[in-house]
Amino acid sequence: MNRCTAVLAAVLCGAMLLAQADKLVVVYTAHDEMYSEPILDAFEEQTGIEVKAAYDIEASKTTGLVNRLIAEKDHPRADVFWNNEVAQTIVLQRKRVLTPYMSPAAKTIPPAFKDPDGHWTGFAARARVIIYNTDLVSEPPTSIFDLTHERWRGQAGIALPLFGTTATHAAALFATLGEEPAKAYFQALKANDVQAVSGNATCRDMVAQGELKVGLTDTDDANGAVLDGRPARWLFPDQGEGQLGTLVIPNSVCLIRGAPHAAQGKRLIDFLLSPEIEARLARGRSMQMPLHPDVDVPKTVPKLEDIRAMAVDFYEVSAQMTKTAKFIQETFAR
Amino acid sequence: MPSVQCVEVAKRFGATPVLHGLSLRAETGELVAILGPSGSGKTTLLRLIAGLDRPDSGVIWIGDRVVSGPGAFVAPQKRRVGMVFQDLALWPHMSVRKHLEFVLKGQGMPRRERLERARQMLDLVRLADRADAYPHQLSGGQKQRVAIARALVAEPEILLLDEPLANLDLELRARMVDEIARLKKWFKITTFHVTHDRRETERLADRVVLMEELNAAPAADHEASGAKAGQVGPHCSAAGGLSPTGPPPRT
Amino acid sequence: MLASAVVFAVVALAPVAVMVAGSMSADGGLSAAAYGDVLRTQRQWALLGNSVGLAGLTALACTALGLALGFVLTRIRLPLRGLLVFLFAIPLVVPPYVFAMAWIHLLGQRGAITSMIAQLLGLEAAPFTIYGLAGAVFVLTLCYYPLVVLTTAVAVVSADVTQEEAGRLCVGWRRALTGVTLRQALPGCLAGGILVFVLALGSFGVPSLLRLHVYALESFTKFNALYDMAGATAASMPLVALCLAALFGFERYRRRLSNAFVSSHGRQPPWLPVGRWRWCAWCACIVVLLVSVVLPLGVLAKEAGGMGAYAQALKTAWPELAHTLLVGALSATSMTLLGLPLAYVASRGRGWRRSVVDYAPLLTFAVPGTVLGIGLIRLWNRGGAADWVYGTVAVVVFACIARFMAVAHRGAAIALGQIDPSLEAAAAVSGVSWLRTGTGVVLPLVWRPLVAVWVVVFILSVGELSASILVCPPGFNTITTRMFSLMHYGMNQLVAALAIMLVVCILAPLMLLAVVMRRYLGNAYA
Repeated sequence: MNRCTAVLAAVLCGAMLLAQADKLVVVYTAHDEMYSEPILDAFEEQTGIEVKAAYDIEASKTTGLVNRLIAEKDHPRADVFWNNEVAQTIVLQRKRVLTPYMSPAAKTIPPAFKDPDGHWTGFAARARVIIYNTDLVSEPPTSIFDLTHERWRGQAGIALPLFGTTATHAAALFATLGEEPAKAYFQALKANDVQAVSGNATCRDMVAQGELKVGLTDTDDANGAVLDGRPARWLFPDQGEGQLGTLVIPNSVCLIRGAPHAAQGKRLIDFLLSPEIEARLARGRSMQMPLHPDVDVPKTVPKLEDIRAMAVDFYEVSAQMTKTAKFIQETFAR
Repeated sequence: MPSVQCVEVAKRFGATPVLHGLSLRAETGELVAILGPSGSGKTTLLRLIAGLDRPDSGVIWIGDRVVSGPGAFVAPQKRRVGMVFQDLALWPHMSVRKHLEFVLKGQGMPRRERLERARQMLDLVRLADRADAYPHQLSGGQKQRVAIARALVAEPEILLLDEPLANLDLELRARMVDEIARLKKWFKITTFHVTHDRRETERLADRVVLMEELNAAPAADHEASGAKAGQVGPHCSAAGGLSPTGPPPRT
Repeated sequence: MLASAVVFAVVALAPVAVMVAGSMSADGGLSAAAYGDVLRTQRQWALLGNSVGLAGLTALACTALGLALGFVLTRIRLPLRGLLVFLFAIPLVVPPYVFAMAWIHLLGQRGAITSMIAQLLGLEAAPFTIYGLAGAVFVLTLCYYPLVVLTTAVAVVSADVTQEEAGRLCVGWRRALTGVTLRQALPGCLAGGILVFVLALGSFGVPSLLRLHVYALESFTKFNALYDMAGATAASMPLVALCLAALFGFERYRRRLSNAFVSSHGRQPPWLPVGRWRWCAWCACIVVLLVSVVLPLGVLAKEAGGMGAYAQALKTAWPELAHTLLVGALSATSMTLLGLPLAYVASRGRGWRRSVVDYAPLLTFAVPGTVLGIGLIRLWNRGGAADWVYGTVAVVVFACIARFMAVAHRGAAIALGQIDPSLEAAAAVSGVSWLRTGTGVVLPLVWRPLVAVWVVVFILSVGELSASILVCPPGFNTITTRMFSLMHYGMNQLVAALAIMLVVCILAPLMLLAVVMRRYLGNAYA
């Protein structure tokens, strides 16, 4: 009799656990907690699947999670990786951490922003912009190359181009301009006493506070300063005819190979890639630009078709990351 | 009560040799006084007998048991040795009564018996009225009596006294000597009494040994024997006292 | 004792060993390639110089400040002394990164204070800012000096008063103080200083914010930008070597000094007859408190604004707050429980056992958190029974233990070192078993310093970031990670409110510390 009860209890427990497992998805997200959390909560409400999330921090800027995913490769814990850029997602793809999934929601996303085999899909993009302090600057620079001019000596700031979107930007320059011109650019920046600060938000703060006059940062950070009513404005650099164009960096979402809850992961990916979510991310403080055509956004949010975007191959960018990082280390980290 | 025997016990601390192949024996129930100046290794010897240190070589027997020797070592807790330390080592956070009860509890004695035994011991050392005082509230002599009570309460088979009468005034010293004599008659425990003052040994000791003779350094052996044979050496103490080992000093 | 050593080895040494082994192999064979890279370039030597400079100057400043304050707080009868002691512990509670941001607000190029100075001097810009080596030393000193104050205070109070009194009879109280009591308290004080040295050597967030490039950046970069695990581990070895060298040197010095034992008469050290100078000392304390506590917290409070921010902070972050406090409590308790037996071996043992126990926690202390984190993942992410560790709070606790055991161990060692071994010998000879000696004789004499140790490692565990970010189970985030991710938006209301809340939450164990220390220091509010 006792043994029967024990077995029954075990079976019940097991069933309960399985049932729980059905209702669970684990996502690692590099997208800022303040914005991603409400979206994940919305997913929970809509589907009843519990979301367990791991977030990253400013200081390690995505790469903490990427390294964790690589280290966990043999026994994956995460189902979905929501990255706020692309180059490191491609690193994961190269290290065979991902598995392909073609989401139906991804059909209308332009091919430039997704992997042809479905390993990752881009959505809700940011751009690398120039931010300037309106109290101190009346004629802001219009090109990233302007930051090497005498006028901005010691007055310009960038996040240290070793991590995050700044690193992607640097690698993109290496990929698009070529190795020598890109190196020359960064060396000129260094010679012009550019202040390499610890992050995009710090850069934005320095400019808004007046510690620096101009800086390179992301649209979401820049927009934050504007919404807060601080004396800072931003613009898309290199928009002129024949100029380089502005680098547009999308979020990317992907499915982990061997995910413990693959089915739930796919549902989450579908949810994140839906036009409704892009609209939500556009309306928020982070002002991310939708990649789906015809998403309903407020007038203040720029449209992708209105910007002259830098022509990049994200695979090429990702391939350049190590070389770029080594060079940046030599030039800036001393 | 067993006897204690040390055979060729040697100990060095770092590079300094302290005991050089020392041999000593105490018969059952005997009180052996060990005389010697400070630094001659008396405390080290006691610590070796107690099991607080291990000898580098040599064997120590308690009764017919080897307690320290090559390949054998009995922990101090198991040796049934009581020791009164030079600095007394009273526990600052325990009252007098607690000192005794703590030791008895460690022996696994039931509560009623513990309380009774502690009370008896307190009466014996005449500290019953100070039973709840803490060490810092006691005078020098009272502290000494606590240390003695603690050493005896567990009914040890061997008693080690490390300069128990140091730092006491003459009157107190006389009283303490009476105390130890009384306890000696009462308990008849094999005892080592280490001191640098010969006068203490007169009433108490069954036998007095000199540390320098016990612990003669091997290289100095020849000089030592020469000194004993020919002259009044500096190690010969004032007149009087028993000295069964070695020739009587010349005056 | 063996059990605790084994536990420590499994919990803390194993992941480090995994990483070191990984760094020495390449393509399946043994290779020193990763190590060959280390220190080959000039840039790395410059970075190392920065790190050592930062750590050395910070340790020096903390030791000087901590020594002075430690003495003042324990030997001079100050008004509101109890409150002062309590307030001096607050800088430890705030994460250094938050402090740095507050100071940038005050002393950055357009900071409140620098602007004022520029105006006063009629200059375009202030002659100095918080950036660079001096600023980093300043901020880190203000973060870590309470550690030295604590160790000094404990040492002064446990010193043998009779020795000082003996000196007083010959040479007057000033010379007796400096010649006798100072010498007795110095090992404890310097132990705190060495701790600060090691903490500052491995610090990375504060220097990077203040635009000082330090050696820790190397390991961090190899790890985060280059995905080079072997390189990251190899790159962290010079720092580890430096830490071990510093600690080794300190050990040699400490063994040459004699220890002061807790005396049986249990008297508290007497007040120093300083007369009017008492008020000078009091003012000095107030000034230090103003600069290290009031100013930065004031900046935070101003940023946080009204109650609305706190309400929102609590609403969004209370699960993380609970997680943080849980991790802190579990880690601190485990470390104190493990640390005591280990410290016992270190202070009473001899030979190789003592050395191993002394230096093993230092090894894990000096290794960067990121290396440790990856080591933990590699070791425990195996599925099956290991899931009891990985994927639960246990792995975060393991990370904290590995990182801060050295602190617990040192603290316990100092406390144990001040008990005369003859007290235990007396118990042994009286037939009391080893275990009962521990609980009946040793523990009652050391539990107060141990509570202080608990609180310190609690605070350190709550602030731990670089390892826990890698191993925190999804859904189990700590408030520190949330604060750091929110810092993306700079010092805004929410971050400030969270920081203040964190301070308040940690004040509970701090109050415990104050109560315990007050009785230990033996005085009521004067």
